[in-house]
Amino acid sequence: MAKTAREAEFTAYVASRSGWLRKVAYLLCGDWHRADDLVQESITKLYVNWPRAGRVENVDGYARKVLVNTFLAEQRSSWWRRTTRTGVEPDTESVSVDLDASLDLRKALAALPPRQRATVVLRYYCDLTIDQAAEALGCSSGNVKSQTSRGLEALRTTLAVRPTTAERTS
Amino acid sequence: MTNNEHRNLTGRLNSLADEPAPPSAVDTGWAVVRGRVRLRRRRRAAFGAAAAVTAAVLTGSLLIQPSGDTATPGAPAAPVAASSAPSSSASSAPSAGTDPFFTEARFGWLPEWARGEGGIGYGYADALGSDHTSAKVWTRGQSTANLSLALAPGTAEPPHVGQHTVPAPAVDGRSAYWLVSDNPLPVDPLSLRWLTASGRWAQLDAYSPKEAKPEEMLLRVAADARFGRTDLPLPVRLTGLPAAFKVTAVSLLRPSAVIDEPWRVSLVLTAEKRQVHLMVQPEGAEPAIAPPGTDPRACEVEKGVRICASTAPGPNPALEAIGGLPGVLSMTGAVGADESTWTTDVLR
Repeated sequence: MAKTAREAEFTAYVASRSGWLRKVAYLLCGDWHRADDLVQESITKLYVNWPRAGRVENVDGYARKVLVNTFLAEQRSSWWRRTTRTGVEPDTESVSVDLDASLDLRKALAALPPRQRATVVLRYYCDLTIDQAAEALGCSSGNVKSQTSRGLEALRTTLAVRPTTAERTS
Repeated sequence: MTNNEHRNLTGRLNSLADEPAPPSAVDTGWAVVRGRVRLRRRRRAAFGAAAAVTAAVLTGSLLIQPSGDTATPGAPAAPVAASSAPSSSASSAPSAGTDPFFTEARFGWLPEWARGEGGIGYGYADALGSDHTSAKVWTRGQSTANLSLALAPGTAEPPHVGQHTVPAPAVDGRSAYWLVSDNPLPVDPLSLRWLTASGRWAQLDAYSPKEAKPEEMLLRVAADARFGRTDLPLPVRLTGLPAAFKVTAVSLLRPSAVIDEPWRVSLVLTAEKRQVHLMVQPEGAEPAIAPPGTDPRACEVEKGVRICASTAPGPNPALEAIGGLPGVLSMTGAVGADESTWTTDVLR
C-alpha cells in the first residue's frame, strides 16, 4: 500500500513538473536530448529519495537542487568531458549563420563554465534569491555573487560581439 | 545589473526555454523501475550490514535496544521529563473534539535563529504514508536554516532506505542514531532518529543549520521535544460540510515562504477520491498560487482572511451536490487573521 501511495504521489508530481524540469535542464546543458537524460537521472534520484522530498517545505526546490547537482556532477565526470570533446553535443556547433536571439543566448550560455551557467539560470530563470541559489548549489552567498557577476560579464561580452543579435534584442 | 537588464535576461531565458523542442524522452515509469532497483540494492546492503551486527550480538534480538532503560517498542514507558504542555501561543488552545488539525510532536528548546513558537509550522495528512504527524520550524524564507520534527505513526522502526546509521548519544536515555545518506547531496539534511518514551520513533532533520557543531544543537532539540496529541487552532470553521467530505490534509506555514506573509493555512477536503483545496491567507498577503493541476478557483475575503478554493478539472458529483466551489466557500467561515482568534472548534 505504502509503495503504491509513494508511486502515485511521485508519478503525479513528475507529471506536473517534468516539463519545467526539462526546461531548466535545457538551459543548463543547451541540448534537449541531454536535458532529457539529466531529467531522467534526476527523477530517478528523486524517486529513491521521495520520502525525504516529502518532508521538505519546498518539493520543487528539492527537485531543482537534485537536477542542478546532477548536472554539475556530470560536468565533473571524466565521461562527460570525454563525450563533449568528441562532439556528442553537436547542436551548438551546427547552428546556422542566421542566428536568432535565443540561439545566440544558448551559445553564450554554453560558453560559461558550468557553475556560472547554473548560477545564471537559477538567479534569472528560476528567479531565486542569492541565498536560495547558494542553498541549491551548496555554496556560500558570496560565491553566488561572484559567479553571477562573472557570468553576467561573460554574457555581456559574448552577446556584445554579435551585432546581429544586439540589434535584434535592443 | 540594472532592473531592465535583469528583466531582459529573464525574458530571453524564458524565450529560450520555451522554444520548440523535440518530444520529451523522459519516462517516469522507467525512473520508478530504476529507482526500485537502487532501493533494493541498498536494502540488501543495509540488511547485510545489519545481519552481521545482529549475529554478533544475539540472533533474533532487536537491532537497536534502548540504551538507558528497558523500554521497548510496543511497551510504553514513563513519560519524558519535558512538559507535554504546549508553549504559549494560539497553538495551545484546548481540544474541542472537532479539530481535524493536530500534531503529536512539538518542539521544546530551539536555537535562537528558529524564532520560537511563532516560527513553527505544522503539517498533518492522513494518507501520506510514514509521516502521519509532523512539526516543522523554519526561519523566514526558503533558503535559511530549518528543522523538521516527525513522529512515526507506529512502533515499528521506520526504514532508512538509501541511508546508513551511525550511533549517536542517547536521547533522554534512549537509543539514537544519525542517518547518513549513502550518496550525499548538498541538499541532504542532518538527521537524528531516536526512540521516544512511547516506543515510537522520532526523527529530527536539520537543513542548512547555522551552528558550527549542528550535532550538539540537534541533540539538545531532540532532548526537549514533546510528544502527545495537541489540537491546533485554525483561522476558519467548516459548517455543514456533508459527511462524505473528509479533511485529509492540513498544513500551517508560519511564517510562510513568502516574504511578509505571517502565516498560510491549506486544507484538503476529499470526497469520493476527489479533492478540494482550500488556501487561507491574511487578506493583505500576495495571493497564493493554486496547487498544481487545480482549476477553476473561487475566492472570498472575510474578517481580514482570504479563502480560495480550487479543484482539479473534471466531473466531481460530491462537489457539485453542494454547489461547487462557491458552495464550499459558503460553508467555510473565517474567524480572524489574528492567531489569538483562531479556533479548534473547526467542524460544525
